Amino acid sequence: MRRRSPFLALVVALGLLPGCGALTPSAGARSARGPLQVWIMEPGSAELRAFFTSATTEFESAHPGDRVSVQFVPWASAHDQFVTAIGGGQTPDVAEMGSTWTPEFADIGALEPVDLTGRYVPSLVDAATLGGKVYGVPWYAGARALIYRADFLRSLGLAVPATWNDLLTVGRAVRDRARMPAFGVAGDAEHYVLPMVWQNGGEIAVRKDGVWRSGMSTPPAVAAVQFYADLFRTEHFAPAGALSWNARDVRQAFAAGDLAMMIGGAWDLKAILAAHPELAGKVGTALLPAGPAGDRSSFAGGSHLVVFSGTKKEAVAHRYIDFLLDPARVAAFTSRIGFLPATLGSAGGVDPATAEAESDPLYRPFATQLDDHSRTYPPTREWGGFEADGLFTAAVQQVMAGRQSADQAMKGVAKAMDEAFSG
Amino acid sequence: MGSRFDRRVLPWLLLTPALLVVFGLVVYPVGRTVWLSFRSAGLPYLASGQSRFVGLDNYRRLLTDAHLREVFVTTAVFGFACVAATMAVGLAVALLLNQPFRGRGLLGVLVLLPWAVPRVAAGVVWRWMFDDRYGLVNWALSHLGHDFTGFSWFNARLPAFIAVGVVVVWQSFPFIALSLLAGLQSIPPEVREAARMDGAGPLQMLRHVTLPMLRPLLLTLIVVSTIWDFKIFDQVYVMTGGGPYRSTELAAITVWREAFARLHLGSAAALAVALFAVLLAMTIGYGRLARDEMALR
Repeated sequence: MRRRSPFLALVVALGLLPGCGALTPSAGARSARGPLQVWIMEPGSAELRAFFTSATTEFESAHPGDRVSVQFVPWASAHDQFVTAIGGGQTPDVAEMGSTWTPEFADIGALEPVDLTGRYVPSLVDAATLGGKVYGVPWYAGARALIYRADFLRSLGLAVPATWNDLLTVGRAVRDRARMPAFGVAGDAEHYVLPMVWQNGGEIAVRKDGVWRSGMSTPPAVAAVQFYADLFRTEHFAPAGALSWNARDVRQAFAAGDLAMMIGGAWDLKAILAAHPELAGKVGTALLPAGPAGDRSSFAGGSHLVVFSGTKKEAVAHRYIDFLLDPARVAAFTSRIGFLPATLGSAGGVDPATAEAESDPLYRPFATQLDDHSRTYPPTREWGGFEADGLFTAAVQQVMAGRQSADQAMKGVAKAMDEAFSG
Repeated sequence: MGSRFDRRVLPWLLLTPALLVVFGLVVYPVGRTVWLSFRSAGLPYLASGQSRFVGLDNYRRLLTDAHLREVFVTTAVFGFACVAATMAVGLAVALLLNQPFRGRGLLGVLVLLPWAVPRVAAGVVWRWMFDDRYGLVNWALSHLGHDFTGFSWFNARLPAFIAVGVVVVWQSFPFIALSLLAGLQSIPPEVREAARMDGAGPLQMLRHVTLPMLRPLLLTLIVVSTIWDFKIFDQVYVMTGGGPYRSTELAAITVWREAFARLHLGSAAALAVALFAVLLAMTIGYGRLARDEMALR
C-alpha cells in the first residue's frame, strides 16, 4: 500500500488539475421545445422578481401554449455569463442586455436584428445600432443624479452643490463640522467618474474618419480623473475603504446613514427608501454638479431586449418582447423599479410613466437628468470589454491610491483603448 | 471464446468505459486548451469557431508582459504561504484531536464545518467580517489592543492577501487535519511508548517519531494542497475581484480576466497551460521525492 502513494498522489493531482467550472445559468435555447428562456438583469431589487412572477403568469394565460422561464442574472457577472453562454451554445432566446454591450455581441452575429416600430429614446437606439441595423429594442433608461441627506445639509446651513466647487465647499463643511463621510467616492464605479470627463469639457472617445480614438489622455479628461481621485485622496470625503467600493457599497453606506451625498439612480433611491423607511423626508435629489465647463452630464444607461440568433422560438420571443413593451407594462415596471421608459409617447409627448416620475419632486431630477443632461458612451463593440475588464476602474484606483499620477494612468487607459479600437 | 481472448481483451473491454470518461473529462479539455494556446481567438471564435494560428506568440507574451510575470510570482508566493499555513494549522489541530479529552468528538465535528461551507459563501461572509467599518475582525483586533478602527483590508495588496489567506486556510485545514488525524491514529502505540521509555519529550516525539512516520502522508497532502492553492479562484473573486488595481490577481483570476473580460482566449489558454505545466512539474517532483524517501527505508 505504502509504495503506491506517490503514484496515487499523481493520479489525484491530475484529476484535480483542470478545475475550471463555468457558472452559467442553464438554458436550452437551441431546442424548439420547452419554455422560452429569458435572462433578466438583476439590479438588486426585490420588486423586480415580484414583477416578473406576475408578468409571466399573465403572459402565459394570455398566450395559451407559450411558456416562459425567466432567470435573473446579476449585472456584475452578466457579461461573463453571456460570453460563456455563447461559447457553449447555450444562449437564452431573449435577454435583457446592458446598452453598452449590445454592439459587441451583435458584431459577432450572436443577436438577431430587430424591427423597431414606435419611438424610442434616440441615444438608446444609437447604442443598439451596428452597421445600419438595430439589434436591440430599447426597454428602459436611467441616469444617475445627486442624492443627498437634506437634513444634514440643512442643519449645517449648506446649500445643495450645483458645481464642482460647491461640491468641494459642502463636502469640506460636512467633513470638518459633521465629522462624517461627505461623498461616495468609490474606486470601483466607472459610471461615477467617466461622466466627469464630459462635465470637464472632455470626450471619452471621438470618432475620426471612421476610427475611434480615446480621449482619456487629453487634459480635460486627466483633470477630471484627478479631481475625482482627490475627493478621496486629499479631501478624504469617503472612508479609506471606498478605494474598493462599488456603487452598491456606496448605496449601503448611504442607507446606513454614513454618507451625506452620493451619485445614484432613482433605482438606488427606491431601494434605499424601501429598506429604510425612516429616511423618508430626509433625502433630497438634484442634478449632478456642473464641472468647470458648465456641463452636468450623467451617463444615460439603459437596457435593450435582444433576441439571440439561433433561437428556434422566434415567434414566441417576439410575442414576449411585445408583451413586455406594452406601454402600460413598461410604465408599471419602470416606476416600480425606478427606471424611466425608453419608449416615447405616441403623440410625441412624454410617456405616462415619465410624466408620473416628473410629478414627484423627489424623482423629478432623475427625469430631467436623463432628458436634458445625459449622454451615452461611444457605441463601439469594444466598450463591453473595457467595462468587463475594469480598464477604467483599475486605473482610477491607482490614482486614488496615489500610486500613479492621473496623467500616467490615463495614458495607459488611452493606449489600451486605442489598441482595442484598431483591432 | 478461448482463454486467450479472455486474458488479452477482457481487461481492456472492462477498462473502456473508465478510459472514455477519463478521455472526455481530462484529455480532451486539456488537449483543446493546448491547441487554443497556439491560436489567436476572440469572441468570434466562440460564436463561429474562427481563430488563427500564431505560433508561440501567446507564450512569448507570458514572458514579456510585466503584469503576467508578476501574477506568476504572486501566485507562487501566495500559494506556498497558504500551503505552509494550512499544513501547520492542520497538523496542530490533528495533534490536538489525537489527545484524549472530553468533548473531543464534538470538536472534531466542529472543526470540519469550514470545509463544508461553499467557497463563494465563505468569501462573502469573510468579506463582511473584514469590512473596514462594520467588520467583526477590526472590532475584535481593536479590543485586543491595537487600534484597527477603519482599517481597510482591501486597499492594498498585503492586507488583502492576508484576509484572503485566512479564508483559504480556514477552509482547507479541516481536510488536512482529518487526514493527519487518521495518519496519527495509525502510528502503533508501541512505537510511541518505546520512544517515551527512551525519555523523548513531546517535541522530540513530534520531530523524531510522529513526523517521520507521517512523511508519506504529509507529502501527498502537500501535493494536493499545492494544487488547490495554486488555482485559487473563488475566494479572491468574491473578496477582492483581483483589485485594488489588479494587485491581488492570482493566475486563475488572470486566466478568467483574459478569457472572459478581455476575450483573449488564446493567451488565456497559454496562461492556463503554463499553470498546468508548473503544477505538473511540481507534482512529479514531489512524487520523486516521496519515492526516493521510500527507497531509503
